[in-house]
Amino acid sequence: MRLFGRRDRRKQDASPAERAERLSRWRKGLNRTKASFSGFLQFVATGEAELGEEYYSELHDALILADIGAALAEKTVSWLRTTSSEQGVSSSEVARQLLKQRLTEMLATEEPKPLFADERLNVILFAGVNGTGKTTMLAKIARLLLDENLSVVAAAADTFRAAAVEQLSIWGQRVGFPVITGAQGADPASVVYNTVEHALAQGKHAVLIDTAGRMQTKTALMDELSKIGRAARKVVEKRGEDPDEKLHEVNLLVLDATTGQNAISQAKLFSEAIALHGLVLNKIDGTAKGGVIFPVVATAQVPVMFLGVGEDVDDIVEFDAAEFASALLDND
Amino acid sequence: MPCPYEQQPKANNHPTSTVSSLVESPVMFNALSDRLQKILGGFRSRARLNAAEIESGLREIRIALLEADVNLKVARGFVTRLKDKLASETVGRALTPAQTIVKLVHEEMVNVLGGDEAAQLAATSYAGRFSPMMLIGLQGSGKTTTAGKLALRFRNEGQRPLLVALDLKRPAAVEQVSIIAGEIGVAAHSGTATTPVDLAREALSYARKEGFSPVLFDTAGRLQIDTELMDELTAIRQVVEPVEVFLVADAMTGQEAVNIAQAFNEKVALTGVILSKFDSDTRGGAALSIRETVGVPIRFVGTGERPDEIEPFYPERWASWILGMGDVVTLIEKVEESIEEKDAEAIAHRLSKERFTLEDFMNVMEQTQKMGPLSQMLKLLPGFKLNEEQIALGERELVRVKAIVRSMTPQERRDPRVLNAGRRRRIALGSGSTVQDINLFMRQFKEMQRMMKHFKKGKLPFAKMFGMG
Repeated sequence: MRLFGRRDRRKQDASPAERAERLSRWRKGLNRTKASFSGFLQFVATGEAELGEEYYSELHDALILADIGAALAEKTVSWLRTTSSEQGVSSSEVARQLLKQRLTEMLATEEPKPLFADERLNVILFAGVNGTGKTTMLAKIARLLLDENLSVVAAAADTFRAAAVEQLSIWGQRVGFPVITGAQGADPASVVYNTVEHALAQGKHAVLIDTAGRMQTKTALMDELSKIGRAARKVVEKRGEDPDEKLHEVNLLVLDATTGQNAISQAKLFSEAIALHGLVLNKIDGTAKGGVIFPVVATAQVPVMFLGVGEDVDDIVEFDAAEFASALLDND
Repeated sequence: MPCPYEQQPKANNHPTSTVSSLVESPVMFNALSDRLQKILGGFRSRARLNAAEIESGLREIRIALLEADVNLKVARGFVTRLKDKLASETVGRALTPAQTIVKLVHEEMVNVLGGDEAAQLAATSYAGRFSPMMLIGLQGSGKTTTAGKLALRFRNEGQRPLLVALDLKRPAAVEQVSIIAGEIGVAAHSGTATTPVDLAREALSYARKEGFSPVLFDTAGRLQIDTELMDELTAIRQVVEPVEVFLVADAMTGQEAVNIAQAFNEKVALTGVILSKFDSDTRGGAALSIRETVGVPIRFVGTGERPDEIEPFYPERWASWILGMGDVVTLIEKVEESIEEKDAEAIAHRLSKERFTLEDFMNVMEQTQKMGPLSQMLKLLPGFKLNEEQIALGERELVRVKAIVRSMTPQERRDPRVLNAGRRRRIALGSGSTVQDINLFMRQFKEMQRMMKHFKKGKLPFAKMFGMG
């Protein structure tokens, strides 16, 4: 993924020490992810199991236990069965490679929008149901941007939940970004509006918007989210400029990896309220496998951009479909 | 079909969780009854279900359970038990095979979810004894919001609850508790200790001294595999000696719900589970998984973000919901709540003595309208999959029926048997309908009277109406 658009080229200029540091941080995160997966698809991973009925039925169960959903589990197993028989595959090791490839393809959507674009005001919005970890994820992304020497300001657009503004402000102090706030109960779109005005006036690189958690079935709250999503464009239009040229908007849906099949409904209904550009699969450091991401990606056709792997501000991993499939299926 | 507690009307209905783009035959939760009906529907005559019917029925149930996020092992066990019951069940003359299966599924699910014990638990009173309680769970499961809701509940019962924030980790968690406490008008303890265990000890003696109870300890979210933090919970439990240890779990949790609940239970011995965020379109299969594997009762469900949005967990109600069978009980309760007591008494009195008359019917209709728009009510019923157009049609139909009854004389309303051809023509003219309409309505009304007799005997008319009784 070209995380920072053109800026990525600059990464090459980073000192070897810096690059090593970045790599190790992300590897650490991913290893943690692997740790939680290990022992799960192990019989597939060992490659020793015989390719027979028992294998397929265990695979089916393992996929369901990973929250991939009954329908997709069945479909995947029957695909593997057919493909193996067509290609005359009898080794479970080969079947495992086939499956890994299949799972990777299922998650490899088109190249996601870069998180950051030069010479634009970058507006990154965090949406999701309650308690998925939007605010913490915002702080982590702020840290990524600050590490690239970019200036960041956050909009505290969760004006509903008690102490949400304080929570974001504390993250701002810790990580080092200013937070624009409104009164408790204020119109969240107006907070975004003010923040974008401020960012344009100050020549900031990025605005990060922290929205209130909302259940995807609450129509009024989803309408509110649409309005929040339009606020930045309004500011630009009012200045007589073209939002498509001035802004680089990335709307992220933050999902909790422990969530089951309801994540599909979340992705579907959030994408009706705002254009979604990326998914964040959070809390993958627990024991949940986050397998619901497979039907979610297939249904919503939105790429996964990040994994959240812990509570610290560095606990973020750029998503890679092949690595994720490996983490599910490989042994080491 | 919205969640039983979903209060906001939805602009358009969407299938809850289909992966339609991925599967040949999309599975819709809210259609288990319909799907069973479709597969097994036609047959009525046999006394017993045959093996093929049972097999295909069980398959549908297993898929519905899995799509509702019931744990795989729990779903298997459930289906196996059901299989034995189905084999020995006689299909009653009144029920189709599909309805028979639905009935048994419902019974079994209520059974697993705790049956009658729920009512007793809901009535649990903590008055008159010092009652410390702990709320524990993963990050973001809704512990703090739930603590506030419980505190408000206890306050409304005339007690003096105290909220104690033990989450020193998440930024502004302590502030969140004190803001919530201020909003709902209960006390929050603000201590000076720097560790959760010391803070708990401090709050406990403060509560005893000042006469606060229940004392609600809101702990930091933690992963069940984090040994250090799990040990901390054990230490807090030893200090607090709680009468209740509530695991707050997200109702949308998937297959892991079982492992999470088991780990917390092993470490801190739960007394109950509170399922939060039950106000979306989630099926909440976690309820079944947790109840079955940990054996701890589900005590409350969180049904919204406001401090009063918490309800005792009633297995009857949620059993239907988990399998997408509609929510008959909630509807009945809504009816009971909104019918004013004196009217209800009057109707009940007359029902016990006489027949259900058209006057009663009008009365009920008017009471029904107090409950909310027809569309909302219909969505609570199982087997109803109406689009907006059909609902609008139904609402127009109601207006017409009312016009018909209003065009009758008081005598006719009390005793429709006097309605001869001449009277019917007059009513048709007066209400802008046809004699056929009147005839049709009177046939429907007769059926209604028949059902009201069952009502008198304590049976539920709605359940009867939709083949679930």
